[in-house]
Amino acid sequence: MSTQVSAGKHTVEQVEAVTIRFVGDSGDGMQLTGTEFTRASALAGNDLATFPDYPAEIRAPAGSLYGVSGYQVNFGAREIHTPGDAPDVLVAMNPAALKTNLADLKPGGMLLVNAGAFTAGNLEKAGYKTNPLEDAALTQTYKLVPVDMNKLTETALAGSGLSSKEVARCKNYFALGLMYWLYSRPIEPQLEAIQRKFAKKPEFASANAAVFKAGHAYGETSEVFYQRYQVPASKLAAGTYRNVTGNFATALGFATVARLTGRQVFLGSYPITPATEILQEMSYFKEHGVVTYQAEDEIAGIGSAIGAAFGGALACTSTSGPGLALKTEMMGLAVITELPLVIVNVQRGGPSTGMPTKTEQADLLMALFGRHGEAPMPVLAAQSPADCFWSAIEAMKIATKWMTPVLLLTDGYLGNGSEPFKVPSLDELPKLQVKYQTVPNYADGAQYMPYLRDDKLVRPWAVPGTPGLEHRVGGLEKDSLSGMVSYDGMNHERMVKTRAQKIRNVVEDVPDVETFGAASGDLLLVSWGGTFGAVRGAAEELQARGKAVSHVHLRWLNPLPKNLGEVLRRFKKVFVPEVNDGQLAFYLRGKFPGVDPLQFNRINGKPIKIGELVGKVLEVL
Amino acid sequence: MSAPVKENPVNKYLRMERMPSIWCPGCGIGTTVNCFARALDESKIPLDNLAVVSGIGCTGRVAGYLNVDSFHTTHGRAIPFATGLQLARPDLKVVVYSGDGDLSAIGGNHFIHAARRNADLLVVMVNNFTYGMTGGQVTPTTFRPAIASTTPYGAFEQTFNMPMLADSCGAVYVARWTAYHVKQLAKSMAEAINKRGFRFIEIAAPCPTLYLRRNKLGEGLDEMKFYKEKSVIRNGVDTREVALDYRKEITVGKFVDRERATLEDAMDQRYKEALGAKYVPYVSPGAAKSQA
Repeated sequence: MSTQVSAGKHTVEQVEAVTIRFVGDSGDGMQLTGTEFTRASALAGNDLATFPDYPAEIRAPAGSLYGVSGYQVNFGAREIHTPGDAPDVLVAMNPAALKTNLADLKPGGMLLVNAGAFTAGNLEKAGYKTNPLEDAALTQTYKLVPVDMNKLTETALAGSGLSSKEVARCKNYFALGLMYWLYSRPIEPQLEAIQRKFAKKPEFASANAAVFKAGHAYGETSEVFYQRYQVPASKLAAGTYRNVTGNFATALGFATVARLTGRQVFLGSYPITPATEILQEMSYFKEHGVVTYQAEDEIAGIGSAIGAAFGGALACTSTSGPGLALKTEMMGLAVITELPLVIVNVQRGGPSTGMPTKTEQADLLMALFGRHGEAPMPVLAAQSPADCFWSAIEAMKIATKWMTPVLLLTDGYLGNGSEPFKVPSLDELPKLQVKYQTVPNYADGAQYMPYLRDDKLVRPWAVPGTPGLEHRVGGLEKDSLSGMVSYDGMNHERMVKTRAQKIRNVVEDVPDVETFGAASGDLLLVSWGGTFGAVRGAAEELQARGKAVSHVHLRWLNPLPKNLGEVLRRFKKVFVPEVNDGQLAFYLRGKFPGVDPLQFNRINGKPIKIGELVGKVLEVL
Repeated sequence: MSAPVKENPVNKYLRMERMPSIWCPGCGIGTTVNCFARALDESKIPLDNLAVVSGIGCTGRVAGYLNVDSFHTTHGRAIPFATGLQLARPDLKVVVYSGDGDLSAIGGNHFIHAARRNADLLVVMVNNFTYGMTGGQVTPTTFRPAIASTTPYGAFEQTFNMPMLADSCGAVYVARWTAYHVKQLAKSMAEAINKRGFRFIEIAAPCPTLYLRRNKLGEGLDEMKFYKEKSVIRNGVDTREVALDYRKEITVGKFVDRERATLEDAMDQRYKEALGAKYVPYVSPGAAKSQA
């Protein structure tokens, strides 16, 4: 749906949703450009979702194909579930960026390129024998807009006194200015943002502002564009919104726990892509009762967190796949000592170092089963960047209520991707109470038994230094009452079964799954974690085409929701799309005999695309 | 009329119901625990404020015999656990009690970083020069050419000089004693408990079942005699000069005693400087005020 209105010399077309991808060299500032444009969209009241896609190397060789960094944003007047399949607009800053991204651009889409970067050297580095901008097929397939941003940036900064290298680094603001013009964004907030960002270097502030304005003016005056676009505000519920990445939302969730409980939140962690931002962001929250500790390694990260939990803190640790592998022994320690702890795993491509900056969902089975011995723990997966906030709080609530470590799965796509987050008021937040045991619980108050459980099988949490409650816990199997070391085989069996039953009992806090669409039908899409947006989008499209397709999404992977088996059996086919080789499908087959899901698996480091998934479902309907 | 039986003054620090201990006759670990109990008595620190963390191995079992809050962690990880506990509960005195294999091999990285940060921990390392509980394998402190189950032809690797390692990483208190020096050890432990920062005490102790037997060095008592004869007290000596060697002189004493901001103090100070009044230091609720 689009309407045309006239505004000055250019018509303004109203569009419902647009996907833009900014691509360039990893030194071209594409993440900044994308983030700034996203903020402008958020200020304009659009719903949105973003997907930054960058190389693992901090600064890969300039102009190389593997050094290309991208940032995709999908913003709209309607509800936005994903960063969008194929971009409507591709902003390519050099030949390598064009080569690696052109195939994704929608036919007829706008291709805005920095023609100034299409030099013989850059063309060769990208493997082009001839200049693709001179290829007639390109102009026939796309709306090609070549702009020599290098030269226009130089012109805008003539006499600025900056070196040519410094001038070249401003060109991303030209692209940004041009996009502001094209999408009818007010420029003042951006000019203020530039002043803030470069407050300590006024010469760069004025240079970037000048280049930004030059880009904006170029749209108005160059006669290259015959129209502009406008994406009206989305009908989001009233409230205060801020754009958040999943990692920031996770950090915010943990900090909120400190506020809700008045207790210390302790994060013991170690840097690892793409989870590092959780530790970085929490390091700023020094007025919120948050203690962050960057340990010497992954094991010390979780070890310090378990120590803090023993001391009575609300403890958490953050990592990604390889780090989770290192933490597994300590996760077993948290299971056997039954101390509350949240372990966040921001999944990335594996195995081993794998693809550090690319997303994947391939740690599900490890999360569920990847510890030695019988070591079950609740597993929760966030479904969107903003949901990371709620998931962090929920995971901490379950951990403290049930005295257990909880694994929270997010992924690189959620961690780095962003969406508007409606900032909740305090009374919209879950109630979270921490209870420590303060009096002896056995033999008429004469003794403390650390493993004397309540009717839900939860053991008490007594912190060190509580008079009369001196106790000792540790990694050896314990007597089922006193917690003393016990090698009695039957006691071990009783403890294994009791710990397992306690985790099964957590199901009372797991909401039933809700079926999106009819309660029964031809096919049920089942998703978990970060694929929520793409699968919901596909379900909407299939339903709009009249197909008897419904969707359920799993946030809780252990325990699974009570009604899941019944829901699965109401559909002729169950279809599980995942960014792994079929881990949830495998799990469901084991949990629900007779249910044999069809699979769609993408393991290419990118989120699933709605269009591709719709096609796959249509094939099997 | 027989005289009333007087209770051993250290009994109240021990879990007498857990005796006898798992340690072999002649083992030096129990002796060090006795010294530790005496140090607790002498230092007068409230037991409610003490937590003992140990790793895995024969010495790792110490936590289980002390009548205080204690945690028996996984192999090598006592220090990271204790650091987290200490940061969460600055009101506690946290002691790490473990062996040479646990602290210098699998936990070696944690050891050097805790010393570098000056984590507020007393680390007691009973050095019996072998992995006892797994059957006498070579450790980073086993001398050349001692026999161990994994070096049947004799050890051949350079050993760690643990006091020098702790000193060079920044520990504020470094001492070494043997299981023979019970008085000095108890005094040293009492002194170290009341100090803040990373404090390290190494104790050479006999392992008669594995290390002594395999190397035909006699019984536990023979080793105590050896410690008595070969030990030289050299307080304040440069830790570069205190490396041990097979059957050679043993330098004991207090080598380092200095002041340096602890991890927690340095953290607080930095945040105060950077954030001013915006920084709200974490105040431990303490156990007494922990009621929900």
